[in-house]
Amino acid sequence: MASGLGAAMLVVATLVGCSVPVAAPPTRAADTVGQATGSPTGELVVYTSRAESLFKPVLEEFNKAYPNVKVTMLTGNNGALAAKLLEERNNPQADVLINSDLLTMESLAAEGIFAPNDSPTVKAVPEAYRADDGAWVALTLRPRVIMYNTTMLAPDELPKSVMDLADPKWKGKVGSANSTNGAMMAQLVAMRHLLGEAQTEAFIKGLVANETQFFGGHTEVRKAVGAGEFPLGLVNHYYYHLSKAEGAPVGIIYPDQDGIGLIVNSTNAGIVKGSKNPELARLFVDFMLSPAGQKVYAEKNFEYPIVPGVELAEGVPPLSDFKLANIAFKTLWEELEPTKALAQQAGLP
Amino acid sequence: MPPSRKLVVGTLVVSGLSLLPLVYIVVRALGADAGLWSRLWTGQIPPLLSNTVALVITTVAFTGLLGVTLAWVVERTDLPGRDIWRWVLALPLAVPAYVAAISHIIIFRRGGLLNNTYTHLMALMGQSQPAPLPVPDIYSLGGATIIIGLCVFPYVYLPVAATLRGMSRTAEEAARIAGRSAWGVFREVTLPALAPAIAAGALLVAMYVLSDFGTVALLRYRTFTTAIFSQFAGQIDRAAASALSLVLIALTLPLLFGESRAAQRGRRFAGGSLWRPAQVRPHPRWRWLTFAAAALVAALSLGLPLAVLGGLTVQAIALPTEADRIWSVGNEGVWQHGMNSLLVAAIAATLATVAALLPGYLSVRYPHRLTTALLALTKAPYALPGLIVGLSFVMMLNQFAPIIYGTVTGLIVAFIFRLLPQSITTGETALRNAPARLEQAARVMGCNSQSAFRRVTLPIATPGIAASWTLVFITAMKELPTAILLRPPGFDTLPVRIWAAASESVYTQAAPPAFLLIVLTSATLALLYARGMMLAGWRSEVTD
Repeated sequence: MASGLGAAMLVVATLVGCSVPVAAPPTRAADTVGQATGSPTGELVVYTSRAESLFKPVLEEFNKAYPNVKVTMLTGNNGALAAKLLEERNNPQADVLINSDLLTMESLAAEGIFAPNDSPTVKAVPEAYRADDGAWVALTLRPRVIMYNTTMLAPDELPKSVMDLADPKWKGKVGSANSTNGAMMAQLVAMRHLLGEAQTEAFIKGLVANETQFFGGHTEVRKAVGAGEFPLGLVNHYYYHLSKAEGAPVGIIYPDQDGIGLIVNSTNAGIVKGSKNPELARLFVDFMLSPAGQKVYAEKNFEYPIVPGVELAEGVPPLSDFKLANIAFKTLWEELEPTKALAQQAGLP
Repeated sequence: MPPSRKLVVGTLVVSGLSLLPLVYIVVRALGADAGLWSRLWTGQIPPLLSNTVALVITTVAFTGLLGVTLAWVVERTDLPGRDIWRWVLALPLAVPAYVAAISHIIIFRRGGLLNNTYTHLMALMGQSQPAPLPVPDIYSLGGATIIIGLCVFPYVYLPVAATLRGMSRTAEEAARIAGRSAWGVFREVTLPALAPAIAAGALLVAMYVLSDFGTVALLRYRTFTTAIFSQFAGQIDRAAASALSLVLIALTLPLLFGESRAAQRGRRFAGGSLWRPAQVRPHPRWRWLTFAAAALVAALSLGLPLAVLGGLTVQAIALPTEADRIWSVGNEGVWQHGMNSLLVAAIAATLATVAALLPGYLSVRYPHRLTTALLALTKAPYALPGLIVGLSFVMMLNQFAPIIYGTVTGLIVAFIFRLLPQSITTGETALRNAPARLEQAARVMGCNSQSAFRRVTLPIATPGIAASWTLVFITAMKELPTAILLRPPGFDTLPVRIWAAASESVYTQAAPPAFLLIVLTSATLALLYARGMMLAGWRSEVTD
């Protein structure tokens, strides 16, 4: 059966192959670094789960420094891209992955998806925020916070802990990302690690029972909070700043300062093993860690640069002002699967 | 005479290909551990089941009512401008439901167009804190039903209108003479004759609702397909997504067999030399009321999205913002995406339509329990979310044809598989219109089976095949998940661009590609109508 189907597919493939002489995807011919002009030349394919409207300005900065490198980006959801990389492991299509969840990076690294990277810029990043062999490296940090609509809630009635969002008091008043979101899942991993299975399950069930609105990403959450569809949203800190910058009536709560502390995740970059352009890929990652690259994330998206010395955007308080959760996400990646099972069982959409 | 060996083998290959994704799902789902099934049963499946079934029932009822009423009004009453309505009412098919949803969201959401205009108007009139405007809640079962229903009612309208037109006046006239009222004639004669057409249309609507992902996700209404997406996107392991898909397939099987029963039970009416066109009855009192109703349906399903998206597109090109620049609105980008969409959709629809002729021919000419069952089964993946079909392709291409993975060819191959269940469904209808008698006559006169098919059946079925191609092409133009999963980096289609913008809630940036998509698809429909082929594919056996 298998060979029959394979043969049939080949027939179809040949048929189609004959009829599609045009519009082939970008080919990568003769990619070399540092040709006669001295400027690196070639093509890179970057998979990213970051929002296109944020990532394009970063690419523009990169192309200012390296005008002869053509970067083609393919956007997608964090988990979907991870799965795609796994399916493609014998037939790699991407050179670099830029994502927004450290646990996913470490899981993929454990599967051998990334190539080691001993670039000095990578090694300069604190060990908690890079793979031991440099296979992936964090670019920026972002704590999990609660944002609220200031016209709907008074300062004295605000929740103080993430756990409060499961309180029936907030029924129909909360928006959150769903289980497809890497940052949301990482938050649950941290909570499960710090508070235990039972409390985390109760938290998820409370959110679901509260008719919390779940979305694939946080942009919808922040827009809905800004528009007053519901007063509270569980997001990463910069979503508050983005809404604030748009003039929306929003405020920010740094939760659990009397409890477990802020849960901080990172955005990351990794070079895909089998990349056809490893040298350019390293150049790209190095640029992301350079002051020019870091500045874009800090300025346009209010994130915390991983490289010290890059200035924070106006209105962004340093992380040292807060109590941070006592965890190292890097060591928790094996807790991702049991947390997913927990979320499934508790009915998290 | 038994079917030729080539025909049987060809049918088996095509059916097998269209069933491949199903095999993939069953294998993955059965490989899931028992713990997963029990977690899904307690956590996910019960609310999804009721949500999904409710949406299928309300949408089928809504489109059934809308489609049959409009078809009857157009074909049996003196509605002003009947000839124009005939094709205008088919055009909503060109509007993808997720695009309609985006348009409605832009207007009706909080802080949307309606709300803002109202606030501004009240401010002009000196009221700074006006009472909130009662805006209908589109994030609900009702909202999803109406928005999806307005886009897919032509699936019912088209076959019903074609049947009404093809029906001879004889039976209805006899019933009138026997003393039935107008309503009595409709209920006892017309409606039973329409049953197969209604069932076929309702099946397409139900399959659409089951497989739809974008619309319900945008409208925050959770169905099996949205949950399958969550499981898929949130898990590296495919077992959970496959398990939920298996439940979805189980939901479609009763629909498929129900439809084939309704098709068999449909009554036949005298045709041939006795055929006379049905009478158009003047309804002076209702004329303009029905006109207003038809105009309202057209305005909501077609006018509203076109106006909203067209307006935003013009705004984006005339007064570009920083966001428009980043999303490359208005430059060559959107045209390139349009070309990509056209290329993939045209090639895939053509190959899928041609391949579908084999199983269609076998089941029409050699009706047998086996062929009927096989055909019903090949239609089942129609209801599968494109995501799952795409996913099985990511796996299969990497395994069997890594060279075409990540190329346009690979994308087209996946599209063909995605389209086969639909092209088999519509292609079968087209072939059914070519009577076996004529082909037999050609055989008697010395043609072999292949030349009889080529010289007799094919010419008769061509309009139907063209109609089938159009429907498949439109589906291909709208197809989102397969493109998301299998597009080569840098090769975006219009739906991918729409989705990328919508998923970042930058709905205004979704407008230009959405507008272009509607224009390109409706142009194809219009072209087909101009060639007189629009309704041909739906002419059912009543005229045989």
